[in-house]
Amino acid sequence: MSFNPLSVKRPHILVFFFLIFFVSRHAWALSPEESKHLLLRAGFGAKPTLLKRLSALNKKQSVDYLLKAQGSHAPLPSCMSEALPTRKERQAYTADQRRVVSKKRRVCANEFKAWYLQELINDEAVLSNQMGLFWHNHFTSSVRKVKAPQLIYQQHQRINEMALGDFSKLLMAMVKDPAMLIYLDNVNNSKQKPNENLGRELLELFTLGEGHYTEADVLSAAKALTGLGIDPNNYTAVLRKNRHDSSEKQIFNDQKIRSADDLVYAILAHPQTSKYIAKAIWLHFISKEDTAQINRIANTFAKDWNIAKLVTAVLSSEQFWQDSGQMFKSPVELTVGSAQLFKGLKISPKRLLKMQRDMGQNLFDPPNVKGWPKGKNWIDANKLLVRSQLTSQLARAISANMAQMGAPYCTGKMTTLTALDVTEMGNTGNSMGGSCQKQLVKLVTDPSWQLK
Amino acid sequence: MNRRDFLHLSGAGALAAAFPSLALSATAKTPVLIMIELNGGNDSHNTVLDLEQLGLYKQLRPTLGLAGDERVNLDKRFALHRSLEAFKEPWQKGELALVHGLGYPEANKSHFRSIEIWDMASAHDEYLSAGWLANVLPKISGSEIDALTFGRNALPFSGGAASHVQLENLSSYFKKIKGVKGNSQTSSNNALSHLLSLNQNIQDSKAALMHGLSKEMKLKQDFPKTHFGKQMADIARVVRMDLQVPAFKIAIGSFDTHKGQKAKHQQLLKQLADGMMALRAELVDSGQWSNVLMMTYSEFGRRAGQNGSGGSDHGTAATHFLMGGRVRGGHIGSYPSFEYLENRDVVYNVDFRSLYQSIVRDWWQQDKFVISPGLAPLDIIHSG
Repeated sequence: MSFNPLSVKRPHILVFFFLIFFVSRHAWALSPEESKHLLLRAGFGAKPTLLKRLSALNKKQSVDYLLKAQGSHAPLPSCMSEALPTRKERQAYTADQRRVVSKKRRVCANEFKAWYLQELINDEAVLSNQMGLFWHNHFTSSVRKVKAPQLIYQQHQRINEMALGDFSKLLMAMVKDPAMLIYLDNVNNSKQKPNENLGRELLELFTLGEGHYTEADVLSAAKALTGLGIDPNNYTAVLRKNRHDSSEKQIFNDQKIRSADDLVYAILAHPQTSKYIAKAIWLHFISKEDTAQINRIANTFAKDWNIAKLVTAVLSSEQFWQDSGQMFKSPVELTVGSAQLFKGLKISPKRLLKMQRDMGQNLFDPPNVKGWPKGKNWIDANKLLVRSQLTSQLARAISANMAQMGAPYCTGKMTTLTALDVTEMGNTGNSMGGSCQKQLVKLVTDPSWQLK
Repeated sequence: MNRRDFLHLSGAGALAAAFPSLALSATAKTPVLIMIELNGGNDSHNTVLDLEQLGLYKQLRPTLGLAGDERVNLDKRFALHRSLEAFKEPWQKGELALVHGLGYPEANKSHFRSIEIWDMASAHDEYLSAGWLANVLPKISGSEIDALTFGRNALPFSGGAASHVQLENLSSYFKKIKGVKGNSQTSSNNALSHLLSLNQNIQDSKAALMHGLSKEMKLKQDFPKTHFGKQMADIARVVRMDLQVPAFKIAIGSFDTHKGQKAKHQQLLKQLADGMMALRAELVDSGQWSNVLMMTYSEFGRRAGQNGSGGSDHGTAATHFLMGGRVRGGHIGSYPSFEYLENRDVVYNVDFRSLYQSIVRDWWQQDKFVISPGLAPLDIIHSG
């Protein structure tokens, strides 16, 4: 016979509510495993300060807390505030000067990457940074092609401001972003000589996904974007009327558009856009696709384009909380997470950046317009070897500096550090006996350290 | 021979290394395929020219088109980009085939989706999980490791039974694998079991490659010092070690020349030709040339007409190269017409899966292995 509380006679109801209250108080706060899971996915790892914060909160509060965390920013490298050359100045360059300028730019781009890496390690606004990185990988631009790191920084600022904001505004901003206009050749897209690179990728990778548009749509999109370029002196986005094709164009069967704004509105009105973005964000946080769930949250997303609400829906789903240890850490997550956990880690930013590069993730420089790899494509045999080099180095650093690096973890349960409880590995070598140093070394060199 | 048996045999690997001739005579030589991915979509219209269509070509490409001094004649009707001048020698020896109009129906113009279609040998609307070589290689491989990918994209080998690794170059790879230990764990966690199987592939590659490299393999040719040239030199080393690895893949690019194409394309084709010719010379010298087949491929060709930025946009069908000691030299298929364009693109006339089928059937003698039913194979190989 099953126990049905509603059938209980009146005097017992108080007892029943008391029981509910009592039980839920215990189920209220996140378990250490849940906090760790949330931080590995929504942030870059189980950062001790955040782990402590979340221990008193429940799931909803934890997600809210991470969403609302305020970022703190270190000053930019000084080279970033140098003005970009005007057209006149550029034209007056000698070959030697041009070489000097491009060398300086490369140096500056590297300082800028190191700055970003430090931001990711130190900043407490981990979810905002995680989403910032997501959008960098979505609205890709590469400093290698754009050349001026200042323009990439402007794009970075726009992305960071809107990473959890209004997608419709973010999309509009990215279509008119100077770095984007250079990266996808729209500066060369004119009525007289159309270039369809931005138009195509806007539909294929940024909003609809392959299979949801026709070649005619690409052509219309490219035409709507004609004339959108950059001022040669102050590097802001400008529309050159004489290069713009303002004729009426047909897109998605029956939509009529003329300008870039019209194009963005037509894309936002397309039912596929919210699905495509919702799916991308779902799969950024959860290993398994769930079409019904994705469509459900996409419907809500299409109403207000509120990214924070979408992220909340994903992170509150049952699928998210049951997915622990099923995803691969990205190179940035692996390095930033390690640096966050082991404060005494003395690996220079330059070296960490090189490791990220070798593992396939060069900040502000994705390999192509589709961005860095995702999922299991992060790791092949060669990348796995680079990853194990990193973890061996980490293990050596831990052994050499136990006092500083190991201290926070040599009390209490160490399993909170890794995605999987390593006892699951069923390997006697992984038993949690032995000194704390040995255990830490075992943890970071275990294959499960690569997972989140 | 069953693959696990081979593992036991290679326990005597040190012996084989000490007596290379033993290893050589022990097995028949596995024919080697080297796939060269022209990453980004090579502009084949500016790589191989049909001189009979020169008038239309010039109309479509008034400034991008190759002028007389930018091309070299191959025969009465066809010319090559000047950077490929060295190809004239294998052409005259009948070791070079040009496969014209390679493509597939309903061409996709996304870099990512189209290369996936090529690498999986799928139809445009078919989503497969294994690369076209992923299940055929284990049948013919004489090595624990079935394929090596230098640089990006190992899709053709992925998702099936083939054991393969991806690396940048041999010396850094060996440095890295030296200390890697075997791991006999298994796991029900998909992500973890992926890591463990990669680890097993590394072990396989170590077993297969390490003893071959115990001697420094000295090459006779000077390979170009480009990234592509150095990787081609590494492929030459592995082929010369006679390790019976049947397939290699290497990528060069980016050929995605939307803008300022001419200078970039000229450099890339030069690197391609120099690398391929060095590998050819090396293997001719070692007597292995008749056992090697090089093929180029790319996600798509480019639009027939030039664009407004001194470049070309994504297109469809393209001409590709087959080079090797037993290649049946000449033209295969017909060069697409510039007169009958569909949506500004040339129309394919040889399905790339026919080419794949021919490689599997005639190069590796795997008659029963069907890449895609109903496609007639091409006549690309002679028995030597």
